[in-house]
Amino acid sequence: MGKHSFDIEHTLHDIMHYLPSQMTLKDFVHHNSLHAFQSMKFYEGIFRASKIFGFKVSLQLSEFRELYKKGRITESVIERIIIERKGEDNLEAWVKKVLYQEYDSSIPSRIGLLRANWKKQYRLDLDTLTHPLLYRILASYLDQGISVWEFPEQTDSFLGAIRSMEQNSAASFFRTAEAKALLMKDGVRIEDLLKRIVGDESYYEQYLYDLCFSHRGWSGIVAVLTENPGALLLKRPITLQELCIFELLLEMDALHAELGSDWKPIASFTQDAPVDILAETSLTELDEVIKIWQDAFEWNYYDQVVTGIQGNLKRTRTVHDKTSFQAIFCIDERECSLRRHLELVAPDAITFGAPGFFGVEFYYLQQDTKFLDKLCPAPVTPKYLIKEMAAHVHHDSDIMFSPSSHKLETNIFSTFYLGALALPKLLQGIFMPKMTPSISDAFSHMTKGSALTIENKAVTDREYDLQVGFTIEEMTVRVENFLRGIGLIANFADLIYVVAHGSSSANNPHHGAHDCGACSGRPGATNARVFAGMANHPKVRQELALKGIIIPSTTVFVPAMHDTAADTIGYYDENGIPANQLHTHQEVKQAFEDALDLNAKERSRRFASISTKQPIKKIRKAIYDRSVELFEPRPELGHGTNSLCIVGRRELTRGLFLDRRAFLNSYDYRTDLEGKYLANVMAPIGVVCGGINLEYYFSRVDNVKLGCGTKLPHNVVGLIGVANSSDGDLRPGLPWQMIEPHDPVRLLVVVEHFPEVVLKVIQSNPAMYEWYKNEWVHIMALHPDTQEFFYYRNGHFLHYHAEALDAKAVASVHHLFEEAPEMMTNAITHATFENLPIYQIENNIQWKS
Amino acid sequence: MEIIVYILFLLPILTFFGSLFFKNHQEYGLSRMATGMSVLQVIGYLSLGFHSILNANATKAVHLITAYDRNEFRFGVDFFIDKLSITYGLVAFFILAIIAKVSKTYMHRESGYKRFYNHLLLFAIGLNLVCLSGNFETFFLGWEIVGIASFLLISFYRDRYLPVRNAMKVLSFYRMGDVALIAGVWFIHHMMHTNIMFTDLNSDKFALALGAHPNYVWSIALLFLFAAAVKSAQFPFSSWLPRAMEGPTVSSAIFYGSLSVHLGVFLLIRTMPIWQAVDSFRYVLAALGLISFLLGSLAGSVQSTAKTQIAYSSLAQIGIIFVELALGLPILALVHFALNAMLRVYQLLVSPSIMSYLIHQQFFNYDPNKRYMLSRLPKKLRNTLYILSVKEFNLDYFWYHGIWKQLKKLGGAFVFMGNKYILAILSLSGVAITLGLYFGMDRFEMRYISILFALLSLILIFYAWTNRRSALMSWTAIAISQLFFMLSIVQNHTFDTEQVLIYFSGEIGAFVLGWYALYKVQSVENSVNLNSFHGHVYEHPKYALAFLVSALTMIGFPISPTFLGYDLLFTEIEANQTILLIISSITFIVLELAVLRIYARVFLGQHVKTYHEIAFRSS
Repeated sequence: MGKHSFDIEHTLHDIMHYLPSQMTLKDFVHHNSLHAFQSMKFYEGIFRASKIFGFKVSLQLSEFRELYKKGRITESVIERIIIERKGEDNLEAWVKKVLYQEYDSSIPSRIGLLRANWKKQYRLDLDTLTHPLLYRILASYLDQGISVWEFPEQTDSFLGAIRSMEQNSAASFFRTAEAKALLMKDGVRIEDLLKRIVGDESYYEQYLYDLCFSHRGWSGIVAVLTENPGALLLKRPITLQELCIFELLLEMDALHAELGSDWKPIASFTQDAPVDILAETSLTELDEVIKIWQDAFEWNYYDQVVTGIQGNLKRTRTVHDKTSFQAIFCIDERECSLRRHLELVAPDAITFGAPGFFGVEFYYLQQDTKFLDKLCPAPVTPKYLIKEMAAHVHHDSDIMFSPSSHKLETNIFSTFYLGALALPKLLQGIFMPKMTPSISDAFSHMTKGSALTIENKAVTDREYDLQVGFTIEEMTVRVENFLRGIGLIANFADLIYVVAHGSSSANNPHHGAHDCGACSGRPGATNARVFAGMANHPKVRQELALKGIIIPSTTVFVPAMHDTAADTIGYYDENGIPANQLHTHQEVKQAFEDALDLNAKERSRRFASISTKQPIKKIRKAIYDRSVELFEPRPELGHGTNSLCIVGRRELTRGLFLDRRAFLNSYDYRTDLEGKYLANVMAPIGVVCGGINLEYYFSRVDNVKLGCGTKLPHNVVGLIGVANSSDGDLRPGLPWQMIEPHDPVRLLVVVEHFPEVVLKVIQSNPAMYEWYKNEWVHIMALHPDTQEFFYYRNGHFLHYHAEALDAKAVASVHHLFEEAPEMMTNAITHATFENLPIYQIENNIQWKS
Repeated sequence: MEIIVYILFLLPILTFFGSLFFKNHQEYGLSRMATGMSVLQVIGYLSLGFHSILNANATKAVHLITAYDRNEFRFGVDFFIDKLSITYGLVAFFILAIIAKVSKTYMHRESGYKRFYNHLLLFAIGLNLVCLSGNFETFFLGWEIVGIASFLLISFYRDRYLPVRNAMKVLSFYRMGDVALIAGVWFIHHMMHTNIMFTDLNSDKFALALGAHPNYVWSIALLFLFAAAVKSAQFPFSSWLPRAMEGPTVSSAIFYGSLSVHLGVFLLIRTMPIWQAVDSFRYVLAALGLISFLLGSLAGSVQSTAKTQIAYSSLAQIGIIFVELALGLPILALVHFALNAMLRVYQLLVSPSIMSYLIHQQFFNYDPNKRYMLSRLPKKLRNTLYILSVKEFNLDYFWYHGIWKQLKKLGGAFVFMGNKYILAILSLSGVAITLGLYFGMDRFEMRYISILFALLSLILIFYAWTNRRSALMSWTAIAISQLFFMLSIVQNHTFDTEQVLIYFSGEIGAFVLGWYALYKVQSVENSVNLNSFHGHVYEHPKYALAFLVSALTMIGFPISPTFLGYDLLFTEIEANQTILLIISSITFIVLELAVLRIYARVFLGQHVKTYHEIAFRSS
């Protein structure tokens, strides 16, 4: 600072960049919590973030050392990392530092130093004086439907609305006339307010950082709404600039009210020179030590993966001559286990994985609803609209949520009858949990048997400024790209299931975080139906045939959706299955049921309330119950434990127990030797999988600053977020209950292709390359010929030698799940041991290749 | 019958002590025990209910133990069973059973799992005592335990700033109510010249006394109304209720949705014989209820967060319950209580659901032209009401800045007390006077000496409460203040060694233990000032616990005979010593705040060491 004069636009732009960018909770989209630092290398970025904002960005040194003592991190890997980073000569010295040296590991922050002077000088706690009221006003204004009395004045801006309120009111949000008068003055500028409050221009920028980051939750949501006003259903225009002006007015108001006119701007009494918040930071020796530990923690796991895959490829396999059916799942690591179990119960089936929007991007309008839902990855802006029609929508409401018990005119009466209903409702919720309208139900997003406007009738058919449906040509492009991407261009089975996923959970404001990340945090059933509808379209098939993809006329794509919390599955458009296939379809459904039983059992090992040794149907029921239980903060564990992304043929991983930790994207290098389609496949990997992984990473290592802490005290604010209690700031990030089993390791992407091809592909797009170049995500190429691994570092793929660790073989998955350890506490030093090593599953390696 | 009452009394206490022996990860056992106890209590209260119905609504008084009985003062634990106790007890333990059950999964793997159940069971003991109580002393015991359990559960997330601050805030309200209650009992005592049982409230003798002392009746009724209004978050105390929603949702549901917040209703029904004949008081009661209903409903209708909305709606209903009582409809009030309690528990427990439910509703039903009734008011009136409602009618501001801040300013004037030599001289002279009195020195025959001592005690406690420097100095000042508090009152009367011993039996131990805990923390951490929160519980949980126990003893929590001493001393204040009563009451209010402030500032809040995760202050 001081180098340039104060530029408000520039400063606010920077601040917005560093604020949390989480959308309102209904649109939960995972992203790198430290996205603002992604242009730097991973370690430089996180340590910089830590020193500026005071975040904890790794496990504690003492935790790493405990993990070492317990054998989770091994000495050989530590030594290998030290040699790589520090050279052989310094090995001994660094081993000492890493293992034994004491460091001051306290985490300072640059935020708040300037504003702290109010307290020092005047004994005034401006936060306490202004924040609660500020949050209340913001929440009342932005509220999407909690309060029964909506904000009375609506104009085209936040300050405009506040002005209208103040203009026509005998009361005021302010305590003094001065602040109110300033607000009413047209064109009140931040600079003018800063001049009065701060005084010296060289402190303006620091003051604004202090201000905005003293409640980064609220500033963050306002920043998001500044850039994307459409994120709210009910239009409530607001900008970060308005928030700053209003907050500065509240501060001035508080100063006036407490001190009269007898106060000086903060720059006149602060003892410290202005701090350049974003200035360079330097790495300490402790940071270097943490780097080594973090690398060691990661490679101790990755080495298993490398040797596990290598070993798996060497196994001998039974080959079936007929494929009974094929199933395409979402890339989501929660489907990793379902696919494994499905292959176990139906050895002649083949499964695929791909991002769960199945390559079709659109807005969706459910019948009888008034708002659009975006169903594709967050960065994509679709041009298409899919409408649901001809559905018999049963839209139920729950009387217990009626606003009448909060309304002046009705609350006495409704307390009596709702109070009487509360008792049986509560008992039912506890002893007989079942799906009710207040539970977020993945299957309520679309009605079975409804029609979708998949095919565009005429390009002039537009609504909401979007084209209704896709033309034949547009459909063909999407189906072709998708099928080529997963390498399914021949050997089509008669039935191909397109399995989307969603998640049902009760009493859970973060339910969106459990739905499909590739569908902007929504259940993906509509995408599955749209894709299947396209792929089943005779004209699309004709066009595809011209492009060399010949889908037999007997082949039918069947859409379905897996509820990842309840472990149930629903099928759509079953009437499109020809009569002679219905028998097979019934068999497949049975196979899915059996696989879901096993999947439930696998998941149950992490749930203390379910005994894994019960009969499997009981486990399945208990798993289902969790999805409708009101008082179960862990209906499922979401993406917790995710750490791998494998892009390649299923042969790499079929029969390998990866403990639901791997995103699996099907891709067959043999059909794409040039890597033409690989770029498409790789495009979402960083932003979707890397985003999920890093959000879990940071929510795990600093759950209370970068995550949102334990769910238990959360209070839903304005239907846009959660806060603790009435006076608390909004809390972005993931709750403790979701990240408990997660090991904070970066994502390792493994791509089965020639290293030079992979390098060319990831370098083809700067946004994509950034993830790997800056090491926020690891990437390895698996050489198809030699089956050796190449690790990307500094622009090159280098041959990688993993520690030889042979994956153990296990004959019975039942045994594996029943004997798995359960964490005693959720401290990392206990929790990590719940994550199992990689196993080869003996009877799970058959397929037709 | 009696045996059931004894069991009802003992079971929560035994369960609480039992729960202390569990380990944090023994989740199953903890929740099973708490749930089982609650179910048994429900059965117990049910059987009392049946018994009462079979015996034509018979009430029942049961005497447990007389702890002290001399002169006019008798302290006993007594029970009284009637419709009110049975209804409240039944609702209370039914809801407790539900909460204890659902918390098993809800609180799973929370680092404070055991602590949560300990607090919940402490709350159960208090609530149970209130329900069963047969005299004001027993009632107050329960009432105070509920208050402390509240404090502990609001600050359950003790490593964050806001829960701790709001716990202190709520405590400051509760304490005013507590002291109003004590003062009310003091008036009754002086009116009747003896401690009375709840059974006496309907006696002719009591009715006669009421008739003879109309001023007393008004004072008593107003003091009880004050206490009830505080506990039930009525106007003008309402603003504490939404701020109390800091703990896990389950504890907010049981405390602030339902059971704790309705205790004011219980108190009013219990004391109905005192005020029901006073029409003018009933107007006041009805007016207060009505105002609370209106303001609560208005504030409730603009709340944009799930839990604060329920808080205001709940207290608005309690306003109506107050009106029902003023109208002489206690049965309706009881029904209304039970239904409001159930509804708000339910609403709070499912409050996280509204995120997906209401968004879904908006998708289907949103109508931009639909406006709430009040939006159709004339513009100026509408905006004025809206702004006032959002600002909660400035109630929080009024208490915080209008009352507490002024008192703190006053306290700041006594900063000179923070001097080792002054404290040493004061303590030595206090001890000397005490010993002198013990060995038969004549009392100072002047009343103003008594007031002087009381003032000294007050000044010391104010100093301790506002001191921003050494915690040890504050702690010492509190102990000396207690000494002079005692002296100011024994000045009144003959020096009763037994009373003084009872009073000091806990105080001395508490002082030493508390001093030791603070001293140890100070010697490790170099300085323990009271200027900010330190969060030392993170590294020194044992000292934190030791200090908490000594703090509770010091403020007369029923874990040592000291609590009896407080009652004794208060009763010794003569009927015509209004000034002494007022000074003592203020001392008594500030005492608890000063003591728990030390606990909060030294041991709770954001930890000063930042090597581990620490939440932002604003979160």
